Amino acid sequence: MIEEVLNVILAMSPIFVYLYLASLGNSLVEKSGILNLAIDGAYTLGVALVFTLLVYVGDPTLALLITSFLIGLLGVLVAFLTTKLPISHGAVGLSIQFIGYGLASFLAYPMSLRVRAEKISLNTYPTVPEVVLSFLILSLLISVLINLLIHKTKLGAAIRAVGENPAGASALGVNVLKIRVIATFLGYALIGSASSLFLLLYTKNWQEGLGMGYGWISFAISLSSGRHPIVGIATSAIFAILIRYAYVLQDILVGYGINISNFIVIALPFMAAVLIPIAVTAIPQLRRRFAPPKHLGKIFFSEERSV
Amino acid sequence: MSTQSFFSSKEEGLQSLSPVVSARNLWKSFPGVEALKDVSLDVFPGEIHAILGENGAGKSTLLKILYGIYVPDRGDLFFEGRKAVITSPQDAVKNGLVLVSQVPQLIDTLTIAENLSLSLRQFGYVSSVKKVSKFLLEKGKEYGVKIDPDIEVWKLSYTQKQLVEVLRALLLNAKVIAFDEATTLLPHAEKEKLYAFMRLFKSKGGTVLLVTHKIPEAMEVSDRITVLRRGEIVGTVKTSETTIDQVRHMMFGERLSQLNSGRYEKLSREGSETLVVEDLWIRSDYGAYAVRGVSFSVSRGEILGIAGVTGNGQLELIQTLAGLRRAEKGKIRLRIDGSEINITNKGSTLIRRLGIGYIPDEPVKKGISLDNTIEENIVVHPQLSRLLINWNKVKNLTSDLVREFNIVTPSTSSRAKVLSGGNLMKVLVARELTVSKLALVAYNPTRGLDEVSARYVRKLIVSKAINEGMCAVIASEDLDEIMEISDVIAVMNSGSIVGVFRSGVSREEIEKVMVG
Amino acid sequence: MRLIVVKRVKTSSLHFIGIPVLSILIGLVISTLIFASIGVPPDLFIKEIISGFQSPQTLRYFALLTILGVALMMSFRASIWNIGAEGQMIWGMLAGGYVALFVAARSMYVSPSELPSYASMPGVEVLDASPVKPVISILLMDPTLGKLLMVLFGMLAGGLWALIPALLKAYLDIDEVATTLILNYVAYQLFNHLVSYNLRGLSVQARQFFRTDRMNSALLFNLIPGTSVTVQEAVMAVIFFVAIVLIYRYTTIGLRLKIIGSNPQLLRSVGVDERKYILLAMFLSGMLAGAAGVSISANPGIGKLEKIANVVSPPTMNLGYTAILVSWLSMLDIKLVPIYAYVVASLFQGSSLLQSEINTLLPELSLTGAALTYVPIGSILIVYVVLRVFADYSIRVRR
Repeated sequence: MIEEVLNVILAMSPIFVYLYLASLGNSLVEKSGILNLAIDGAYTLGVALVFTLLVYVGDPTLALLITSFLIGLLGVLVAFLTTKLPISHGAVGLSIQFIGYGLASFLAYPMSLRVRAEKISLNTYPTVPEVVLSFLILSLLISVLINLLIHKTKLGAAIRAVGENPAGASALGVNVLKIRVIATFLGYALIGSASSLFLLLYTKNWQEGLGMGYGWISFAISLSSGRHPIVGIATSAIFAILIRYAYVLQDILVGYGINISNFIVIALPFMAAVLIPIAVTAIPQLRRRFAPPKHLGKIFFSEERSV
Repeated sequence: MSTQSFFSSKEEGLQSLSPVVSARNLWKSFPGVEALKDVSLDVFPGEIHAILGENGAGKSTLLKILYGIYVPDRGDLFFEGRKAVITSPQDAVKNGLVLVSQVPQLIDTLTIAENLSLSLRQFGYVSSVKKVSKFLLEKGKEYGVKIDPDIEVWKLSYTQKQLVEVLRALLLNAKVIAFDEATTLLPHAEKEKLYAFMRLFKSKGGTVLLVTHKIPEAMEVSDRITVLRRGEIVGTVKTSETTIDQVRHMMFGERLSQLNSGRYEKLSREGSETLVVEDLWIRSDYGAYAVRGVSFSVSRGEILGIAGVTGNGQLELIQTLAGLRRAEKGKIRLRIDGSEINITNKGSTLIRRLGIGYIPDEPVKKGISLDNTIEENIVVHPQLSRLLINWNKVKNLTSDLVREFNIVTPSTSSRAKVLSGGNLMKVLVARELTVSKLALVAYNPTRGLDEVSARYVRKLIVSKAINEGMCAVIASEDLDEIMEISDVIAVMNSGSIVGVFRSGVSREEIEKVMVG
Repeated sequence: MRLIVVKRVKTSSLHFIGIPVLSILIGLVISTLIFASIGVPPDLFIKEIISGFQSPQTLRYFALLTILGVALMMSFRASIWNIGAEGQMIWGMLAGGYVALFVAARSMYVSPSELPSYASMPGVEVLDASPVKPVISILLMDPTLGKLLMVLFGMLAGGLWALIPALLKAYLDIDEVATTLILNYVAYQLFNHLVSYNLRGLSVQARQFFRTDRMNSALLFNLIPGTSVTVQEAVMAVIFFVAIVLIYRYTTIGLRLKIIGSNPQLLRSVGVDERKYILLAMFLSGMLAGAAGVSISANPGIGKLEKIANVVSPPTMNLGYTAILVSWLSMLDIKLVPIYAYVVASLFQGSSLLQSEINTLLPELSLTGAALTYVPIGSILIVYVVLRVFADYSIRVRR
């Protein structure tokens, strides 16, 4: 019995990791009041970046760190644009999403041809229990740390204040831009590492469009867990199990005479990404507990500001 | 009337001191309005200095410049003699000035400790909130104030939130504490406590800047009064050497004659009951009951004023009467021409269709669309439009309203965002008074309006009541307003009606039940 | 010295025109630089972009982007970000395709011996003349009625698909960007499922690949000679455009759809149920997108529904996303939609011309269609988003 449970955990861990870390990063960003619609672009770009870097540097951990750092910088750009200028978060997010998609293809496609032509083998992480479990434990550790940060420290109070009421936070003495930069750098770095692990620990290869949509699944996870680091673990686990065992589910249903095609299987996590937020929002108590920060996505601009 | 300064350099004790805060030749304009024109001011240490003026005179703008929320177009600021560039509240705090505003600038979902930790520089960002909590408990004991630092701010009453803000000012070692209309919403007893604190602070060497539009308050607690009118300094007087009339004259100048003070002459109504409210129980956004078993009735042509300290259920009551909030228990009924209609929880569409107007709280946020034109803001009301829009008719109606209410605007098809706050309010009131045939439900109907416009609106409400039989339920944070226009005054405290008064009651009696 | 951002009193028309134009120019410059970095000659890039403006193919995208631009305008003006036009188009394709393949006409097997007699009947078309299992298509109703039904059902399907995120937003306050986008991915897969199973064709080609039969040619839209745009597309573009302009200007519903974009609370406080208007705005938006979807699959150049191999290049050609550019550049003024639809259509066509040129001239450069579309779209969008600030605000320098 224990061995079966362990096997399940091992099987779903890579998926859990690449979903959870991104949703954690998303939660951090959104707690500071920035509506993170660029997440899928950042995710797709992250996958493409780590692939390209992997060929150049050869070491997966180095590629992971550099990618996380670069995607973190993307987050800082988002923080600047949404805080310094009275600009719509949605507009910024969508623009960066499209640029992210474009740059992802632009960077990684030539590299993928080269990899195929020169038969380069990619030095990704081996999917052995030691590696998989280390990342799982690392994710859980990061989760605890971020949770402590958000709920027990002054920085966490500042981030939450900025998300609830940036004008009030500013009046209390918080440098809104500084806090948002910290939150988005950390948050996007997490997204970057999640997308890196998507390739390094899971798909092990790249094709055009890889990663598209998974940013949104992480977004949905973050939303359904009220942007709470610990609750997000449960939600991500649900999605991970769903993705991992979807084909098993398919086989079971065939046994009952219900044929769901592979296409439906692919669509399942996306359908869940819509249904689970509905379930959470429809229950009033959950809705209140998981409510977004009051100023999420709202333009922070008083009569005038110093740029 | 010239803007001669009354400032006399022969004031005892102050001449030898240099100002703790000075403003020189401040100019500030916003789209469509010049808020401050060549304003200079000196505030000396150890004084309580009142800045007096009616709504729109520029006092708030002046204070916000001192506090770094606005940057002046021209002019300089000096703190203790040195020129200071203040572009953010942090700059102001560094120079020793802390602002306590009318609307508490605290984050509701955070605890007191979390809120104050954000202001206390001595705690780094990675320090735990628990440390701050402990610090606050100690400091609280020191100041003789009992607070629970780990309570979430939304659970606090208005007065308690103000207390936290004052505590914050002390913890920041403020040399000057500025109160921006901070006492307007406090009941009498709390106001007195705050005045006592100001005097105590002064005796310890602190300075107080009190921005207000209430003359009696300025007269009661300040040492000197500076009067602003239409963005300009009229003069500064020593409180002990001036009178209410002189100050009022400084505030209003030649428009004094337009203000006929006193109560309106009202005929006692023997109208039939129009609006009947029975045992209403309404929940607030946070889940607790805001209104507990309220019942009353309003007759044709009668104005019911709802008085009370902010946050005692008046807002929720008004929102429910307007059909925008659910009543959990109880009934609201309308009696028209002998028949009775139950309008409890039937939605706002029905209520509007029956001819009930609504002036919401946060009028600009909820009652006007800034990106649309004035005409569009008028015709948006379902009672004023059919399936197809006849723009000619709309234009005419809007022009009439603009003229009637003295709305300052380039044209009727200008976008609402070019209007000043006061004029936006007038558009909203104009629209709602036009469609209020049966009744008007309002929250702070004259908030933010300059004195002349406010009086016009009140006069119009009263005349509609008298001439057209419109009944009204008006909740206002301004007790003077309630006393001016109401036939009946109901006082709400903690969600229930604790006192019902007819005209002729004294202010003290009302205030007693407000806080009791 | 500090820079201060200050709100403007009046928005000048200079900004109204200047900002979109400048965004396009600067965005293109940025794209040129990005592509130049891997070796695309800038002059080739510019040359193909300019050819885009003159190419007859552009007219097709022009018509589609006008329809889609108006569709998105309906929701954007209501401050609802309908990013799900792709999915709504897909459902339009599916519904229109269903009508074309199973209602207005039917395909069926015949025996090889019967084939000649069937082939000579009016309304019958041979889809697959294979000697083993020939397939014919029989027209079941008047083709004009059939085409009309295709469009109507396509619009209904698109509208209904858009209602899902609309309901979630109106009643549960769930952000519509995430839901509309995620539903695109669901739509792609449901499309694949339906095309591969329920709508799968009978002909040899259809059985071999995952696709439907060809639609009966009587039901296909009619090309305007010399172009790749159909009469029906053009007509729909004009009708929708005019209708929506009139609705906005002269009806109360139109006014409320506008106001819900600036202040939904205002609607609530005057007694209008703003949630119904959220639903209406999205439904209309989805309907028009659905019409565009029907248009794409009923184009003689395509004429069938085929499984999507990679979601990066769906049959909708990502026009659902490109149309966002059209709506935004029009500064949410619906009268400008045709202008920017033409501009963006030209850019779109230009980038595909560029791709074919590069494939022939510089095959060592590997650029995919996705890169060539998304990079310019994204660059123009981000520049636009920043410049847009200047329409409402100015930057002043303080000593």
